[in-house]
Amino acid sequence: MRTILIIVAVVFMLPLKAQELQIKKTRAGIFSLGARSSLGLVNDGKWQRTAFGTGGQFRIQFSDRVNTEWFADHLKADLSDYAWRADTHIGWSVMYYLTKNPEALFKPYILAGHCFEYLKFTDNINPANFAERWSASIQAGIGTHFNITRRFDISLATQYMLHLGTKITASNNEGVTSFTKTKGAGIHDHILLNLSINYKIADLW
Amino acid sequence: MVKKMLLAMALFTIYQSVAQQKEVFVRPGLLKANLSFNHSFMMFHKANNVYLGGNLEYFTGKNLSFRGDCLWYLDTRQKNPVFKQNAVVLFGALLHLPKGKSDFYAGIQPGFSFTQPQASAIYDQSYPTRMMPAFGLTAGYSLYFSKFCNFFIGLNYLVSRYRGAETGSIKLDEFMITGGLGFHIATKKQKPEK
Repeated sequence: MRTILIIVAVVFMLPLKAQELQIKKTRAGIFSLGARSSLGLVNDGKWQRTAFGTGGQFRIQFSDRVNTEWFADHLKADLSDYAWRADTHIGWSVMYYLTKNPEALFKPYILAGHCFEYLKFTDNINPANFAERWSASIQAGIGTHFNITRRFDISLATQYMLHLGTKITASNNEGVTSFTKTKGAGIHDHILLNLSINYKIADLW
Repeated sequence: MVKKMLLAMALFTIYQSVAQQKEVFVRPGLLKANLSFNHSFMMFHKANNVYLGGNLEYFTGKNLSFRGDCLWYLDTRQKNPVFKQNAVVLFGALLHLPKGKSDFYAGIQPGFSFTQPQASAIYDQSYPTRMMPAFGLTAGYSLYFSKFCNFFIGLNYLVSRYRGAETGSIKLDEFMITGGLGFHIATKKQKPEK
């Protein structure tokens, strides 16, 4: 299976020719647009399941080694077999490239940033039974671009997100689902994995 | 009568192929569109569904295109359908390997599905339509046999989950096969060969 994947990757990548992107002086000002699929790994309790989502992002690069990513995504997950959660993120990250070559096939980076989250827990049997909250978070992680052409990359990133906001827990006793919101601000965390496709539209300045 | 029609179609196809042998079809600026039926096989249910599918694709390079797909659930071949209604919207990038009139491609497409499963037999619960994240892996082949028309076949694996069913979630992964006649137009002039 791995051999087949390698052959397919080589066959598709070998004939690729660079497409023109007019770079003005430095790589600062490059504007990219993309779409992403996400996996969320939440660690609040055994009742949490892996979340799966879709979103989009744009990037504006500020220097040869510093890029920024502005994203929004929507994830959904099961809460055991009695409820489900929906997360909506909107935020931004600063990316610092670890290699100098801007057009290397693998371009690893570290990232850190901030985001807002809207979270809603809903009972499977009774959708009128739900709990919701807004929170702010900080995130940090690592990722890499796979530069397929000069203008197009596939990116894979993983980030640790630390949310500051009201904590919601879910429980089910004898078939009755209940949600509990803690008073005051609490800290809770999760890991977010992203696979994204990105296209460099233009060098703006 | 049928034989004559088939012969005429074959001759027309050969004529088109010979007449445009030197033309490069897959190049930056190529705009493609098609509408076809997609036959699907559900991976976690005994169900085969039929979708009406359409897509619009734009080539930014010889080897790269961006494509948006819409799929509309029409019917199933089973007595007990899994879906009451389902629509899928996908957008992503495809990598191409064109050679002459042939073009093999593969790509990924994140997106959303708007899904309503059939009412549950266990709890007699009817489900609302919900927007669910989806992810598509696609691959296929196009044959450009004329200036504006192509034949294509495509395979698609669609990942999707309906959350909020009484038993947790419903896995709705589908493997889809499609094919037919597509249309294309070059929106940019072909550069003369040096």
